[in-house]
Amino acid sequence: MEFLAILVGGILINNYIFSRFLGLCPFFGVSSKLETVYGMGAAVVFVMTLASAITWPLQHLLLEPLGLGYLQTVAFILVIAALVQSVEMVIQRVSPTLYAALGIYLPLLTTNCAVLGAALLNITSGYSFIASVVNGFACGIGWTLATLLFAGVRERVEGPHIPESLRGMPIAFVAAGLMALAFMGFQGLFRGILF
Amino acid sequence: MVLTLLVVCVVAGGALAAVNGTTAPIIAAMEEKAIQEGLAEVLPEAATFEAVAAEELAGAGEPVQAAWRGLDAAGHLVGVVVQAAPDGYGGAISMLVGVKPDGTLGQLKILDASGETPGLGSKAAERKFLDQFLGLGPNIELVKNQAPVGNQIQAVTGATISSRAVLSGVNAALDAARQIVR
Amino acid sequence: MSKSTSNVSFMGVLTEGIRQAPPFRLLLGLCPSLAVTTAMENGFWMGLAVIFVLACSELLISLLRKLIPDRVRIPVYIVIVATFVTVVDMVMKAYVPEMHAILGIFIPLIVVNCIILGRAEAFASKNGPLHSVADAIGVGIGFMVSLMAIGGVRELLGTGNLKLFGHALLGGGLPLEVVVMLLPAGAFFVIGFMMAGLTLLQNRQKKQAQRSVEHCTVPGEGAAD
Repeated sequence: MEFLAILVGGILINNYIFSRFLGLCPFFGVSSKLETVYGMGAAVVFVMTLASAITWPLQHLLLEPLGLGYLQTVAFILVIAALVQSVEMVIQRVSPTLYAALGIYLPLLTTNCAVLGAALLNITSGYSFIASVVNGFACGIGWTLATLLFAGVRERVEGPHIPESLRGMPIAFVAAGLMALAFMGFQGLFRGILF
Repeated sequence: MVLTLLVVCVVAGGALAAVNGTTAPIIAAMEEKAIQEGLAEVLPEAATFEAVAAEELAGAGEPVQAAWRGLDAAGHLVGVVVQAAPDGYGGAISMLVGVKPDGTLGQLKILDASGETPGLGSKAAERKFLDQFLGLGPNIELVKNQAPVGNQIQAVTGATISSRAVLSGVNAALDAARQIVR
Repeated sequence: MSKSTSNVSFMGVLTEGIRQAPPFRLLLGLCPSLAVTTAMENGFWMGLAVIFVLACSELLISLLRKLIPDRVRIPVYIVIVATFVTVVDMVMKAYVPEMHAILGIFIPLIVVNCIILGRAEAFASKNGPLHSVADAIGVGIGFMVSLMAIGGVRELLGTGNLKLFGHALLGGGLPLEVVVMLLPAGAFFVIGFMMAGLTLLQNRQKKQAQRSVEHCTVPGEGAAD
């Protein structure tokens, strides 16, 4: 039951884009075309889940027992950078087709605040190992969902009917704001359904 | 090449350890001071506070984190303070709840509600909302958009989740206090 | 920018940095721009943290730029930036705890703020220490001003008042409480419209510049422009 709450929470209630403001640069970056979103989304889900799985033992089995909690930021970001690098190498070797689809997005994930953010939030939320992995997965899915929806909207807000000064980024932001308003409807979802 | 990276990491680690050595005691002292000031504010009748052992809190609800017995100069119990941290809108709301020996509420103090939406949920940490709790007993209820009657409080308009969070912390504190005073 | 920047002054680099004004011009550092700008003062402290991290990191990277082998340069930059970020985190927790609680995870997230690594890569690795610090301060101030502007608009519209270091700037405040401004949606709206505003100004300047050029190159056609 806790995992269901985490899943729905990560995807809808605490959506990384519309609620927590994580992973915004790539959100605006890849959403200009629908096809690029699939590639980035898959990469994000994959890396966020793995990053959650690796940073949890790092924190609880190494940093905390040794009283090195203040090294969290440095350790986490190095681990994520190494993870992304290794994943890229493995995919390149194992599946060139997958690499062609996914490869260029992977290096961008090192500086994606959603990945580091998820790892940090898992710790502050006090999740168990499995809960952390589920959360990483859920938040990745949430990010992808938000970006997919947004890409669909963006394709419609292009063109001459938009006033000149609003064209491009400004109207994209306004559209994102409207979607954020819509997503607010998910707040309190659990209190209505489960409690 | 890898050597450079290693050297940089070691130097970085050393620098951080040094800064941590300086700041960690300050942080710890500050947190302790905040608690002490909070205790005095919430139960001004008490001259000293005695921490309640963890075993006595074993049956308490989840938001309850710690508790203290407030004693006057003669050593008599004048109340109990419970520290609770219920889940709010964007994180835990840390609070101190003062409870009189008869089980009714004394003062409330919110220590940290930074996860609530400013201007909205943050109103649940303000005196206007919190003063409603004075003197109420166990199992307080929440009502919305109507005047509270008896053992009820009215939620902040548009901030039901934050209001409910504060309430759950208070109710848990009241229950825990009842166990301690017994 | 190449080695000829020795001729460019410290102030020159600094003002250029300010003009780059993330997130409006360089579309970088979006996450904190939306997340922490619920109040103008938050923007100030976040900006200050970024200036510190950026200045120290750019300085150190610039000093070490000839010693760092190219292949490990990104990991090394990351460790350097992460170290300064952690220092800021610890110092803020000790000396400004309320602000530390408000900024929350966005303090450690400074390490993946694209502005920092971007400037390290684009500037500090290729320029001397003095100019790197100028760049850092310039870009940092630009960022801080942007954050405070966004925060100011959101706070004013959302609460009717502006607070700085414990003082309310507008006395009793205005009777405004457009709560949506304090919510995520409001953040997107404010930035979107501010960007549009800047584009409008920019286009107007361009048109005026064009008009004066036309005026000069076509004499005789003169007056009513």
